[in-house]
Amino acid sequence: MRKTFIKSLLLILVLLPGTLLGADIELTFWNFWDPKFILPVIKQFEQDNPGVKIHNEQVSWGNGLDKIVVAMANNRAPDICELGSTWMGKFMGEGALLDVTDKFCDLKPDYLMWEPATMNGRLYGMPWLAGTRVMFYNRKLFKEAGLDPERGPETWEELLAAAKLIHNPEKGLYGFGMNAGEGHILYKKFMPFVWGNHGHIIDEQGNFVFDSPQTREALDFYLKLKEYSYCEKQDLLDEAFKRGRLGLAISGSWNFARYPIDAPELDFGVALMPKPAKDKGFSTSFLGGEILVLFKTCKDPDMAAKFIRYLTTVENTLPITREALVSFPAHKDAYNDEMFSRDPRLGVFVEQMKTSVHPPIHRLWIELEKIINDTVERAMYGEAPDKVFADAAREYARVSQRKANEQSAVAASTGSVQVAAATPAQNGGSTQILLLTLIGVGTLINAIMLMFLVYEVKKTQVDR
Amino acid sequence: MIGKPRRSGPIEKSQRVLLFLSPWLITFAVFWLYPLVFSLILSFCDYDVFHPALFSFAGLKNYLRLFSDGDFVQSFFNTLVFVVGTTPVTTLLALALALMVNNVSRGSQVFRSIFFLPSIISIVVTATIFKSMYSPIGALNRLLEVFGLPGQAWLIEKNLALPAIMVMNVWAYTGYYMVLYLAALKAVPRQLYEAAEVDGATEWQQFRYITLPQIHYMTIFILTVNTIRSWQVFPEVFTLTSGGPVGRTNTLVHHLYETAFRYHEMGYSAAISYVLLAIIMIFSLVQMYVLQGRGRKKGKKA
Amino acid sequence: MTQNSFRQKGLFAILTALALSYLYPWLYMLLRSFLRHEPGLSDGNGLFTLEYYRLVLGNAGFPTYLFNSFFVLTIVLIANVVFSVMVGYAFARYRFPFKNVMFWMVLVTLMVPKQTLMIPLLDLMVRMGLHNTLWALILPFCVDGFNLFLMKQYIQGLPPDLEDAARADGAGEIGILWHVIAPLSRPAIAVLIINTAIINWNSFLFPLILTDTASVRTLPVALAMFSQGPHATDWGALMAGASVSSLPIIAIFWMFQKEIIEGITSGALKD
Repeated sequence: MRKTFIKSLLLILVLLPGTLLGADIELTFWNFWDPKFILPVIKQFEQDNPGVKIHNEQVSWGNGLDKIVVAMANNRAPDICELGSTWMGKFMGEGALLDVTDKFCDLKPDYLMWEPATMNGRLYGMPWLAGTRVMFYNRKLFKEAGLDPERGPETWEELLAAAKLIHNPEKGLYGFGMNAGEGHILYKKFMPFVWGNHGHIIDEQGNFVFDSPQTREALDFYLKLKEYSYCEKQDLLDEAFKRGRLGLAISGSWNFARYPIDAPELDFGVALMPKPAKDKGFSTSFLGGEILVLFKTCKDPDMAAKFIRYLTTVENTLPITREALVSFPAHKDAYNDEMFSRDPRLGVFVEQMKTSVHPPIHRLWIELEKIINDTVERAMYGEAPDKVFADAAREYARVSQRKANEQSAVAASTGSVQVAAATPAQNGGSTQILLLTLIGVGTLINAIMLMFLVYEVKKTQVDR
Repeated sequence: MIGKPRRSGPIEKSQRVLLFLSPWLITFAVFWLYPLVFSLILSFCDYDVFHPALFSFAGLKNYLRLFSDGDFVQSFFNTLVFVVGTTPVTTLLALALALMVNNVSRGSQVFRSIFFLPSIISIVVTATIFKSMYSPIGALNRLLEVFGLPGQAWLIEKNLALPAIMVMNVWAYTGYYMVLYLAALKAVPRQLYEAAEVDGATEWQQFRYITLPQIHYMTIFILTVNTIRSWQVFPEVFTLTSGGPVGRTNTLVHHLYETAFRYHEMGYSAAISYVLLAIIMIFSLVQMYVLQGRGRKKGKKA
Repeated sequence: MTQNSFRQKGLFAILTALALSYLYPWLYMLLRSFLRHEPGLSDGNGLFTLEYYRLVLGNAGFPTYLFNSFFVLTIVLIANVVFSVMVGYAFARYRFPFKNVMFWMVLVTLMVPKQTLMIPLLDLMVRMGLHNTLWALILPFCVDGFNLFLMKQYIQGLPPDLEDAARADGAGEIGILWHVIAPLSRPAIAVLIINTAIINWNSFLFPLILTDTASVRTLPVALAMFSQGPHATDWGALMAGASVSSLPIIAIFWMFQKEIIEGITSGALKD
């Protein structure tokens, strides 16, 4: 009875999607933004291009990557997708994305941040949004501590001195807001000190060069700064800064959307990241953003590229920036907009972006990121630098060895990575068989159970 | 046909059994068997979502790798501490609350509701609230300040983070198990107590020889379910610490989640989850054996 | 008598103290959903705002999400009550081959980490054509291992005399289930309903994976989208969403908690 119900239900549901057909080209677009920003753009695009239908599907920031990975595993990756720029190394390195060099390379002069979309000289995505981090400082606390509230610290020494002057935990005031206790963010705050000091994670030859005098110097400074710091997670740091408890904190432009409304009395300034010393190194920060990519399974790459070109224009991207203030358009012309000149503090972000460094575009970046976070975190928790750097090097050797083995397995079985990724259909067939087998086995087990039940059920009552 | 008297023979009854079991059998065969077997097979394979064609048999490789994976060992011990630390406390506290709420003459309904409230909000929201409470300038430290005690950075301090999560977990789930105990307590026949009172049994004796055996089945249920849930602790860790500081709160499910969805090693992740499944099963088997054995000895009475 | 009232007062005091600590997060949640700051952290008063509620309730898709969540919950609730009593009764009272194996299978579905099942379950749903429909969120969850376990344990704890009496009167098995077991299990069914409601209403992982479009999105997934930013969570929106979405569960709890308390004592067990 129930079975037939389910069967008929299944039949109806299988038939349903068929009736929804209509447009000639249908593309799915996964992104992280409120549909109110995206839908008008899509509507206009569909009007300009009759016969095209773009399905906008929002995914959440917290679990977006999970959903994309699960969809990829099921061969259901969207046609167009927004990816965080730090994921690009992995996705490009593994050959999941479509080569779009000839579709976008003419746009190169107009846009920023091509680096994370490029691998081996080929282009695998289109920069859409870019963002960086700068030094926020509390002007009121600066004044009270006798510091100049009109300029932030320009060197590491000044930063340390300022944090020291403001730091007063008895009164609930802290010098510097330092990320701790959560994975995956720490490196964004720590690496600028290394980069500014001419240190690197991976050199031009692809060697792991994280353990260098430059890095150790930066770590040494960072640990000194920790003495005058409030260690917390990013959202609690932003909250503490908003409440006027922190003298300095490295944070992003998203705070400009909240601080003026939530805490109008908060008097804060922003400054470029400090450099190691007056005559040494340079001011730099973390650069990251959003890249629009086409998966290999994209149904109509040409139309998808056309849509991406339309979406990334200044007038279609600025609305997101204006309201959410999370990051800025990758299009260079956007920076002439009055919003950047109206608040000079936003101009600091534009200035900082010029010298900001994007983390290495590396196939193993996600693993590298963990190594760096672990290293810095363990040093922060008091382990000797010699030990943590040695562990980092060993861990990198281990990870890259394992990946190299897998790589050779890939090459041995299919000739090259690209070929392997391009033929997911084979796999589809084998899982189909697996599925049928399983359902068959399940039915068989049920049938055997049924026979036993019909002929062998014992007395009803179980004695207690 | 409901309630219509029927001739009952063995075949008739077996059809009934089948009918009664069918919702479960169908659901299991259709929706559970495939994912379970799929991931079991996966645990013996190398599978990278980026290269689905390379779905290759790897033998015991994934399982052997567990022994050399420091993060796995650490997360196993963290989870063990978590389970051993929370499950008995939650269960005892739930029983104590249930007894108190059951016996209090005024406001029993209000207390019941208040204790149950935390179970209603999703654990992610609860965790977010505790995240703010545990922060160095948060509510907990300000409360301690009132009593002149030193504050702590609860989730940042290496040795405090896991206990802090455990406390939150106990807090969040006690009320829920309390309601289960209340349901069981209410089902204990009054006559038993009346008879015991006539015999002059003390309150402790009544509790020990009537209440406890009568609600024993619920204790088995609560302990088993609670143990299973504790082994699988995840959203709390994900929201509060993401496994930090320095891996001190990394639990097994958090580790397998990261392995699967951050590092995309599906086969290895499936191996972790089947090891976890085996651990939980052994734990539950021992638990049930002990509890049911005790129950049989004591429960013979009524 | 005086000793008794002294004890009552002590009990009352302890419970009040505990209750206050249990109320704190709720107060926090409600306050935070109306304030721009963390309550208590600010030196002055946190600015009052309805912005977060406007964000959640004013979202164009909100009625759809609410309807989807209610639709899924209603069917899952009804199915779970009916099926759990049936299956739980079979496990508690019958002897049949593979009973232990089958029961361990029930437990296995509870023990296996859900994160592992995400990929194969989506695969299955895609192949069945259920992907991106509400049925994908309903059918697999119509029978829940937790509820089966609960009902089995509860029915096992019931005295068998009444069933035997009914059986002696010539009642059929379904009749016994319906007229004897179900009424006796009212407290457990109430617990089951409350439990299923909480789990299903807050369910996040499977709806996230099994559905794509906004038309079949459920409330928890939608709330995550309102409140999660790229770099930080919008706490106000999170708390406002949690406050709104906890209301139906509170209603269900209030409706059914009487059953837990009154249940059996008033009913058939008197004889």
